[in-house]
Amino acid sequence: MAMDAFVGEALTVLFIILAYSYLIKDNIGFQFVQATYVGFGVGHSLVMVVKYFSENTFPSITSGNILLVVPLLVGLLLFGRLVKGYLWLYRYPLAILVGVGLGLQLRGMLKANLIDQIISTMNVNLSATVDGFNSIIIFIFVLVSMNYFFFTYRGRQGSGTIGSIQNLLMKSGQYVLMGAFGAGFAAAFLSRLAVFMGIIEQVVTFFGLI
Amino acid sequence: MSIIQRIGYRKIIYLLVLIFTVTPMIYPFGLPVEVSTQSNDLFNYIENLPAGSKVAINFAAFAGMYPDSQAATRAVLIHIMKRPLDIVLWHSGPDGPLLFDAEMEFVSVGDRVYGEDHVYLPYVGGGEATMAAIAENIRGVFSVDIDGTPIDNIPLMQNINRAEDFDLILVLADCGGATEWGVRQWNIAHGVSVGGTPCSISYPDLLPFWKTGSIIGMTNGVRGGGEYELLVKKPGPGLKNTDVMSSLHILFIVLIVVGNIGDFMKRSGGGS
Amino acid sequence: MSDLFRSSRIPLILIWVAVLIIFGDYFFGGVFNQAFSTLTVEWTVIIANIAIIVGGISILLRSIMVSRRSSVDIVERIMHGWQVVIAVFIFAIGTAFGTTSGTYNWLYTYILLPSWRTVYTIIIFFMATASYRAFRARSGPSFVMLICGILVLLRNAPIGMRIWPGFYSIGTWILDVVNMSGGRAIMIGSVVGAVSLLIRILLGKEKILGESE
Repeated sequence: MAMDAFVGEALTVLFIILAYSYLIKDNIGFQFVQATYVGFGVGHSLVMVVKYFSENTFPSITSGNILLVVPLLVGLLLFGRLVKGYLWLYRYPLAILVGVGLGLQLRGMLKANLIDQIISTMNVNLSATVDGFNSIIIFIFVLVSMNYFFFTYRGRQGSGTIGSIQNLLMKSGQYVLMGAFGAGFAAAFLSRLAVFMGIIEQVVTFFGLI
Repeated sequence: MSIIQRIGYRKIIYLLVLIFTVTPMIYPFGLPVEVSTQSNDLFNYIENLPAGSKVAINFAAFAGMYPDSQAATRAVLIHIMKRPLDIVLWHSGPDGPLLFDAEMEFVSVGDRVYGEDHVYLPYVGGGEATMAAIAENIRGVFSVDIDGTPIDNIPLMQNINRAEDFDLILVLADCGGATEWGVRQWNIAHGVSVGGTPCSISYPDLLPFWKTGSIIGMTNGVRGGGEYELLVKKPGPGLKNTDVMSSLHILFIVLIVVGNIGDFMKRSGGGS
Repeated sequence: MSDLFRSSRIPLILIWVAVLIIFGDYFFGGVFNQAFSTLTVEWTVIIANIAIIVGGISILLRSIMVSRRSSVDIVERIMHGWQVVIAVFIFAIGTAFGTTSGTYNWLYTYILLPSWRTVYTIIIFFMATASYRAFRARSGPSFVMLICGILVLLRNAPIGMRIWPGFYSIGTWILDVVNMSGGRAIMIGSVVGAVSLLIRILLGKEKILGESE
């Protein structure tokens, strides 16, 4: 192995051990690793954004697209956030970000997250197949789960049969949502596990165990 | 005081986690992986794209979570590069360019010619607004490729400027919502099919989009990576780690069951 | 006049204009709308990238402030100072040598990647102790949550198929039906919430522009 690669691998293993030392107790080694990656991450993000501007935006301006100076100047108003007394300046570019961001998000969400989902839920297949059975179950599960979020309705629960039905619907919705959260836990676990396996593999390889 | 009480149950569990991770690495047992419908859908869609189809790739990786979707991303890149498809790739995460360069050491471009059948564009921040901007007007966002060549001088980019010029957009290694941006800004707004290799943590949230057809197929983190490696017949980090995945999953299940049995016995014994 | 510029009235009008342009382009189209929408979206890319710079500088300024405060513990002061030093160092190296240079790549591969990923995965150990100590099936819903979690864990682990092939089918059913149904309900609810948030912002009832400062 080349010298720089060996030194790099050794440094990697050292950082891993220092970071995992947090499991025993919060200590200066862990804080050092944390400060390193936060600082490095900030520096790296700044490098990449400055690179984008220097290679794309500024050449576009100098080659004739002079209109791009306007969003640059408006964007610079964001620095008002950092200077006392000039906080009001940053509201202008923030308003553009909020307006465009919300507009873009909502125009897509209305179809993808609402209309398409409702259509798919209502698309019940009454055939005697697994798909048919699943479509009926999905229809019921989505309705009872949504029922769980009707807080005002829940507050005015009736008594007798209506009350029991309301209670049953709410409880069913709760169970479906909890089932979904259980699956979410398994997904979150798998996600962290994948990164963890890579880290331990680096240590094990460095010490020649595999 | 027993030895367990002296050491503390926490440290014993930490040690068990390490043992259950390292042991299958040193002594692998090699278990098969079942391929899911969603991974199959993604593979079949890419496999059935006609020659010359244009594929946009948003490489959305960020350093911390990348290993989760690395196997699937590598396998999909291998698949895409083998097929006669035109590729335009850009990065939406600042870590993208460096991670992508490292990944391409394991992916062969074969006899592809840069600029004619594949182009790499640089990183640009801005999240969903940038996805929407690229979909409307690529030249409004990028004026040069990753090496500084003006995109007007690149043969492949001559007839490409909007989302409608593409047949598919792939969002690779997404852990932060980039696939949803693709659905909203490319599929809903411009009718382009979306596929992806999201992290496991994003996978359950994207299933409703797969069900409605907005997403044509996707993998499930590192497990999906193993599945896709089987489909492209190129074993890699996904299949290599199936044993560690199995052993740690079993450990966690045993801990949950043992903890609950102990709690149940304590409660039925009169304690709280 | 200066009160008008310092207030949130003009920014609120900007939000209205941006939302109307984006929605107008999507629902009504038209060449004028499309061109203006394109311009707005491209402008937003530039402003959003400057926001990343402002965010980064903000973190560094805060670290400088903490490292200069004598009331703070000396170790914390040193660490915050180190954060600033490394950020400036990386920025200098990246700008001077480029991000594709060997030096930058070495630093990225052997320092950033392991430190970031390791800190990120410490939670695995805490999840393990929580599995033993905290995940208790003490009620019906929590029992359902645990069972579904275990079944999906068995589905994800290749060994699950070896123990019993049914685990894969059941786990897949839970993911594709139960989880998807719950996720769909939450998704539909979140759209309703997002629409109400947009209406509140447009009516000026939501203080998102830092009006209190």
